[in-house]
This record gives sequence, C-alpha cells and structure tokens, in this order.
Amino acid sequence: MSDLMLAKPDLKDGWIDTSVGEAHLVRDILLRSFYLDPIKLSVSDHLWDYPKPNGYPPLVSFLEERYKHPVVITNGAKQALGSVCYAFKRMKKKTVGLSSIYWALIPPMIEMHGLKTIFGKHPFLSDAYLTVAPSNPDGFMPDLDCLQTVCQSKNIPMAHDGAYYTHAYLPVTQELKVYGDAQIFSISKMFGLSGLRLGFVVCPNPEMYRFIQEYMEASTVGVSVVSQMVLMDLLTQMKKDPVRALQFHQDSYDALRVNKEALLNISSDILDINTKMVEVPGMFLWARCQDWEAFHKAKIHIIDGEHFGAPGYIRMNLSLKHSQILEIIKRLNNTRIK
Amino acid sequence: MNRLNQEAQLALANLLCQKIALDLEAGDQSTLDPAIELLSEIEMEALLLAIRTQIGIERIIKYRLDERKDFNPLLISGF
Repeated sequence: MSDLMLAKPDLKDGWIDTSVGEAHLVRDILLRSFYLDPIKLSVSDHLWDYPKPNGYPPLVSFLEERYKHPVVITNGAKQALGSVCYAFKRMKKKTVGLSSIYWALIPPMIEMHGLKTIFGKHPFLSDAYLTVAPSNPDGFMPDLDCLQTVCQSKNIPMAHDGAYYTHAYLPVTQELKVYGDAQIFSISKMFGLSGLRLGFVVCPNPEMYRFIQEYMEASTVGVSVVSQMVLMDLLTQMKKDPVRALQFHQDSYDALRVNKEALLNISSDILDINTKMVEVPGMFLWARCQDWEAFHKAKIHIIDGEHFGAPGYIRMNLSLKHSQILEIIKRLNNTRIK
Repeated sequence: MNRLNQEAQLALANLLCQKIALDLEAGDQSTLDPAIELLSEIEMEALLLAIRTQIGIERIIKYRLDERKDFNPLLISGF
C-alpha cells in the first residue's frame, strides 16, 4: 500500500477499474475512424534530435494556426498544469483559487510549485485562478466568459484547464473558444491517446508563454518528437477529412451519453444518481454513494470523493466500453438479490 | 421552489434577475438580499441563463456581485 496515488492501479483478477480517468471509449472510436501508424514516421531526420522548448515545429504551427495564440507542447496536461503553476510563481503570485470540488491531483501540484491553494465558493481572494471546465469530477461548467471578465477586472491571471473542453464531451454545436491567460489541453482526454503523454498550453499571455517554455526546457528539455509526430499525423488526417473528424466527436459524445443513461439503472440504494447527470458534460459519474460495500462485493474499483473534496461521493469513469458499463450495472444490482 | 417545473423556474429567475438589474441601475440595493436568497433555490441551468441575459457580465463586475458569497453560481461549482 502506498500513499502515492497511482494513475493505473494494480487490481486482482475479476475486478473492473473505473477509478482511472482514461478515455477508452473515445480512443476506440478514434482508432475505428483514423489509422495511426507510428512506424512510418521514423524516416524523419528530426526524429532523433532534441526538440525545441515549445515543441515539434510543424505541430506547434498547426496548433497556433488553429488557436491564434502561441502554443507550447507538454508531457501530458499534468506537466502543462505544472508549467502554469511555475508561471504563476514567477509572476510573484502566492495563492491559486480553485473550486471546492477539484481534481485530486491539482492541490498537490499547486503546492509542489510553492503556491497555496484557496478552495471554495469565493476564490477571488487569490492571486491567480485555475478553473477546470468542464470540471473533473462533477462536470460543472462555469460561465467562462463571465469568469474571464471577472478575473480580468481584478487583474488575476486565469488558467483554464480544458482537458474535457472538446466536442467528445460537449455538444458539437457548442463553440469552443480560447479563455484565460493560459488554456490547457490533454491529448489523453481529447483523443484517448494516454500513452502518447501529450498535452499543450495555448498562451494568450506573453509573460506566461515565456515562463512555460522556460519550465519545459528546464524540466524535461521538451517532449518526445515521436509522440508529437503521431499527433501531427492524426491532426493532419482530421484536417483533410473534417466530416470524419466531426463524426468521431459526435460518436464519442453519443456513446458517453448512452453509458450515462444506462447508469441510471443502478439501484438507488447503492448510488444516489441525479437523473440530470445525462446532460452533465465530461466523462465521469459523480454521485453520492449509499453502499460502499456493494462495490467491493461486485469487484468494481471506484475512487472515493474524499480525494476531490467531497467525502461520501464516488467518481466513476464512464468512458468504458458499453458492455463493461452493463456488466458494472449487473454486478452492482446483483448485490441486492438475496 | 422544487414544486415549480423548469419553465416556471426559468420565468421566475428571469423576473428576479430583471428586478435586480433595474434596482441596481436605480441605485437601490435593498431588494438584493431577498432576491438572491430566492435565486439560490432555482435550478442551475435556469439560473445561469437568467443571470446572463437579465443582469449581464458588465453589471456583475460593476456592482461587484461576484464578490458576494451568495452570488457565485456562474463561476463556482454548486457544492
């Protein structure tokens, strides 16, 4: 037993893991829609060189063209968060405001960079603000226009963690915009490609852009070129075939919704699920647990809401194959049969 | 409030937010506390829509509504 919260728990046979926020479903749909071949990429001359601090130039240009702001590629969104915390620190900020329900790994990350987290409903007493929107774990979507204006009016730098701010988790009709002084994206969540370990930061704030690059150079000397080339190949395919890309997003969103609807069939004396959760963006079920023992009996590995600031709740990954979701429901409801 | 359906909640939220906006512009903050207390019982979706359309971001900043502990549904998770 370790105090370290592992990204991938080591479970005994027969257990189903729903604790890790890995977008299996999105990845399955992506790989059915697009063909990724990392082998063919190895012909490039630049493959074996040190990367630039902001990333593989064709990929950076591609993303800068899309977002109309400077971009820095990172080793996953986690390093992007670290780089943003570093930038806040270099900007002489001491505290970072965060919603009272938060992703478990964010407060340690903030504190690891010498900053203090200010939780709660009135966070503008902080020097900087971080919003995860849609939120992990509860899917809460603040009014980002309003939040940005409020932060600007108080001269507080704002970072938007947009890991779930993609059309895989939001309706394709919703316009996606750049918010804040830095906006973070995760390739693990955007496409389900966790193994690439890629994320990126869109930096409208030039000072933050400079500090984030500094962090990337000092901590890991950039990001694997191979991973970036795989992503570049995927994004190029998507650009060439926008209809298929749109279909991928729509299919991912619909598949998550089907899983959410199915979970309403879990017995209410096990989980108190709000029926409106079907409309809540994101890839998690966030609900009050009525019977912890049922999950143990059913061999369903969940994560305790205590880690996210809400004891008594659970977070469950919904980006699993539908057959797995049905198996989870069956196992849980079977604990009620005497 | 729970007995009102979604449409009724939205209508009520719009009326309350319109009243808040008009009173603020008239320099009268006496109705703010009771109006916000009522708003806190309205469902999030209706509330977001009413605040954005009737009060607006500019008034939220101008009258520092975002700094009130009881007026944060636009920005902060509801827990």
